[in-house]
Amino acid sequence: MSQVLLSAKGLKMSFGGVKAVNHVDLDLAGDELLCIIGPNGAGKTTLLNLFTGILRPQAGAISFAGRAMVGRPLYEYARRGIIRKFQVPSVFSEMSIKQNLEVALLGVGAGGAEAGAVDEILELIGLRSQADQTMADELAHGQKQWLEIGMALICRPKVLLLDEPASGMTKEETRKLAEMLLDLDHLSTIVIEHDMAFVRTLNSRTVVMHNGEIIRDDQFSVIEQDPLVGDIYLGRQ
Amino acid sequence: MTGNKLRNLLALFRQRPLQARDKLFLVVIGGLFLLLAVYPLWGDSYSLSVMRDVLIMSIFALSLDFLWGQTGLLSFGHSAFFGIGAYVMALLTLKAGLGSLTALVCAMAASASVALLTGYFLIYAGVRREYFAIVTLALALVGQQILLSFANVTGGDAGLIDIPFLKFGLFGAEYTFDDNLSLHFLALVSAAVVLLTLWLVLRGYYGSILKAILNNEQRALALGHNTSAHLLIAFTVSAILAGLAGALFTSTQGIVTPELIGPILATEVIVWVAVGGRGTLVGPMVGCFLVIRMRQEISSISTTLWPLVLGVFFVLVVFVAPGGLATLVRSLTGSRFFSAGKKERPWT
Repeated sequence: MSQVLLSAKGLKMSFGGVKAVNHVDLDLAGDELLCIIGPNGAGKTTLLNLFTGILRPQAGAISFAGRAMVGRPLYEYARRGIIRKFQVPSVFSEMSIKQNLEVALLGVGAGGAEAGAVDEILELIGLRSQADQTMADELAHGQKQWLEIGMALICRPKVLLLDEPASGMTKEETRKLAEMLLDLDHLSTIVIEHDMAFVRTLNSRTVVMHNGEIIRDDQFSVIEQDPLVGDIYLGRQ
Repeated sequence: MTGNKLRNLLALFRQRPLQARDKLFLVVIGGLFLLLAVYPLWGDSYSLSVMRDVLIMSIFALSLDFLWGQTGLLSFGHSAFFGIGAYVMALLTLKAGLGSLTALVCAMAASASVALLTGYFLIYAGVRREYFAIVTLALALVGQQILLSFANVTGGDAGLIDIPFLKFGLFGAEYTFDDNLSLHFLALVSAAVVLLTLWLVLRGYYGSILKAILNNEQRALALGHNTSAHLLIAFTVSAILAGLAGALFTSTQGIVTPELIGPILATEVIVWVAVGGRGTLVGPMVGCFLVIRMRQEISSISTTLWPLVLGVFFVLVVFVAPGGLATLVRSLTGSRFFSAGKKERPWT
């Protein structure tokens, strides 16, 4: 396994009296695929918000490629290579599919990049035929998910953070997404997902969060057998 | 600046291939400006002066449309920048004896400086939407108060008169814009250059970035766009154009008064843009023409009637065509010529 790329130490974030993230330590290696699972309100999305600078932790540190990140402007996270797909598809609804991808490219300072990059991603996300004329607003939920994934990939991220990417996708699309994630090289990926079949297909290192804390960190095949994890999902803990 | 950074900067202004609607835009606008170029052949002296004022004010309308229509930031005190341009031009040419060109550049620089300073604190503090509108309204009020307080310099309520006409040296010869015909062409060329420049900038990749910020600023940030910097640049460019319009207006009128910096003109320019259709560039120019012509016609009947008619007209436009006349034209013709997206809701 390669060196640690993204690292969190002692992260804390509370909203009122609720400890959304509580003393979280997490390391992600340079080419690792990590899944985060846990019931609603476990603190998964808050953790992603901390990793992308949307929230500033009340305590703890985040480092990326050895560089402290807390307090840096939001856009700098993306420019350094931390790109995120939001839980609710977040695209530029009044712009065409192609323009969405172009804007994504320009954001990371790759505006001078070849047009080939856009075509390549359009092919990958299966939206090539409607790229020029269709506004993002007109896409179905699953297609918007693909577009947002495409916008993230075109930035050539070093760390890709995907918040519930399979939500709203058909079984076939979910399978295609899993294949794509397993094929990604030289890229660290964090996936938050509720679809256990999808996580099982990835069968990667998996972290279980509950009440803002990491309670398990192992391969999914091991996690799956853990009675505590089952209890948490069934609300017995 | 490294080669990479320069290449990325230039990429922002790269143009997309011309689409059918772009060609239609160029043909319609070209025809319109050609018509305005030959207008002196039949327009009398009064009509020419009205058209000149409309053309200069349409630069002001374009300046607000660039900001409000493209970024969603509504400057409720945009007359502050128009007024700063007007007064700096007047003071520098009249009292400091500077040349027209130097004064014109200084007028635009003064508007830019105020926008840069106020915009920095507002935009980087995350002030957006109605909060931005309210704070910028204060700019116009403060500006007007300053003018009245320093009456020995600014002329107070009466303003300043006898401001020299624009005078430019060209190929060793000096040319003064002091007759109706030359002033008409000065206004026409200025408006055409501003319109064409903004159109080119907006149809390129930079336009896409501004549109993205308007559409979903959080998403743009998460993709690496320094949205506050882009908004500050747009605010400053908008102020420069407003300053240019103010300076030209003063030089062609020969007079400057505190009304040029006050809330009434600030409201009027919003009405021009909203009536014409914000975010469409041409719409606000048309809106400016219609409203100014209406004001002149109504004022010739009664000077007190105009604010009432303006209010009723504006309410009517908001009800019938919330996106302005541009949307009305589009819904009647089915054309996407004036397309400005969903931001056609004038107050959101």
